[in-house]
Amino acid sequence: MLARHLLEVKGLCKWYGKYQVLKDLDFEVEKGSFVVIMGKSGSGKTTLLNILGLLDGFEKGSYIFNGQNVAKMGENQRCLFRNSHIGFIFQQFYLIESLTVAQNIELPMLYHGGYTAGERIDMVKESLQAVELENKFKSYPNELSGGQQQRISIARALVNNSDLILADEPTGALDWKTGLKIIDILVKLNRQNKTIIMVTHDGDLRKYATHCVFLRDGVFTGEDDL
Amino acid sequence: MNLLELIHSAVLSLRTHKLRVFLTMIGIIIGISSVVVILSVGEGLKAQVNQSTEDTGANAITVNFEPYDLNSSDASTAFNRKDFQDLKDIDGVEQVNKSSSGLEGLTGVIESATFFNKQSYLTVNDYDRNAGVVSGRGITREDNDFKHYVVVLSKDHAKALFGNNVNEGIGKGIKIKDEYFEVVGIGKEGSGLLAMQYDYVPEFAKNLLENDTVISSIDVNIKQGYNSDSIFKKVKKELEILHPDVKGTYTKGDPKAVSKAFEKIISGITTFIAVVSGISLFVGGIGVMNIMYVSVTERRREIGIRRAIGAKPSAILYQFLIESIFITGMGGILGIGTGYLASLILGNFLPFKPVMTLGILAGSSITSIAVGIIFGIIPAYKAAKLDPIKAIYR
Repeated sequence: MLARHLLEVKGLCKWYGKYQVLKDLDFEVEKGSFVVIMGKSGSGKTTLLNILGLLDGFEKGSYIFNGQNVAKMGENQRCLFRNSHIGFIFQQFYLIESLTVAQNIELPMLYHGGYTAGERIDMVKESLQAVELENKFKSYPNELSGGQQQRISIARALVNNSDLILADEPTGALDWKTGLKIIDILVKLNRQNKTIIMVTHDGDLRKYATHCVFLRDGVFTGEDDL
Repeated sequence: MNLLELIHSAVLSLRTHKLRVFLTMIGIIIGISSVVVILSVGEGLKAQVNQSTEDTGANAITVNFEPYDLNSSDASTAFNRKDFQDLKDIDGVEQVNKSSSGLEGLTGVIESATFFNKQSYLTVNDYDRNAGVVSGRGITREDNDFKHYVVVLSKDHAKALFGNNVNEGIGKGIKIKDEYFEVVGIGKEGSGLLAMQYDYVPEFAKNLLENDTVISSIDVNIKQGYNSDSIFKKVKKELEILHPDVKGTYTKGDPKAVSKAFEKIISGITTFIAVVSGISLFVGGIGVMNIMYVSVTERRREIGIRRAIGAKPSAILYQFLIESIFITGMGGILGIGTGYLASLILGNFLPFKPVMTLGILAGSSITSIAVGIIFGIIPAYKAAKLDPIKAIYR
């Protein structure tokens, strides 16, 4: 039987030293949903996103990803899992400056292994097509605008055909119009059944989500089903 | 990532800091090239010693004399040139010669020379094309053909005999051993191997001086198919008959013993100097380590991003290690090239040609890669152990 939920989190607690950042969180994310997590700075949004992306660990609770208990995975297993199932989009884009656009997008496939050079090029082109930047194949990140760089980082997150895209304030460093373009791409991906979890301050972006949750001091304070 | 992809990735990262990488390489280039020069000079010297003992032949024995009483003069009378013919008559003996030390062409005959009450010890060699006469003339073929007793003195020896104005010595007669030689020229200061002060006489005169020297051992060449032990027994018996009064025993030795010992000394000295120059390689390695640390610190965010998109800690370790090996490996290649050129140039100023062996090439390449691993592993380990969250968000 296929799991209906992509993510199932129960009783999740996270401490930084004596300070508890996340307090007993319970939630589920359905496949193909677009979840927006909102909250003030320091509410624990990014920490939650990092835990969901297997970049960070947690002290208490359980985390099931597509039926797999990821909490029990070793470091190398987590890396492999992250590479195959999760794509990250950061506020500051975080492309590697010394690599071309194509080489940046190719990286997850190189770490995954098993692709020929030809296959990698085809998949890079496909990803670039999804973000409408096919002509930037050989450009370097510093030759692109902020919006274009963010679209490239979306292409990088997509290239391994990830199940889940985690976006941490993806429009935070962009002007309103460019930000909307990014959201538009994310919405299109969501329509293609990609599960997206986005952290943002911007209340206006709620309307694009299928679910919206509010986090305050490490606790969910409300939920909108939109 | 496979090895090729790792190397490609290392090149992409390093090319953003070309000058920094090149400056870091300089330490390795200097280290490797100096080791290459020293080893190839050492190999060249060994080859020269081998070459000079080749005439001795493989099928030869050396006969030495060990006196019972070390203070007696028996050792000086144990052999003489008249023995050679008698020994040659033994069945199986092809040739008998005074032992070669294996250093012919590198050393001369040391003799005392006097000019009135002044005395100096000369290192007499025969005519050398590269003698470099600074005043007067050199030794000519005619001097040898017409048996002219002439000598070209080295500057220092001329100073000892004639005072500071060495040119005054030209045309004067000096006594070397029992013969008078006319000084016809003054040579340059210190020439040849180890800047020896050679004094040159015609070949016939050098042979004469040499013949009068005491024979301490002889080389006996054995004909094909004869056993060296039985020939030695016969030679020993004959020598005991020829020299019934000497108190001691004739022993068999390896004709190449001296050259082998000399080779051993060269190897020892070469290794020692190579190790000393290896210190610059160590300093170069520290430079590589330093630059790799800087690189890890500068690229913390890149490391974090790579980890976020699925790089295992080992992939990060290999990436930085390959970068370090690439720097030292390239430095090694350039160092080998520089060392080879330097030894070619140096060959023009030495009495022998430095020899670049496959062993030197392989050793230098392996050393440069090893330096990359040794000095790159700690920064690479540090990079691999970075917490991805701290690396991304600082």
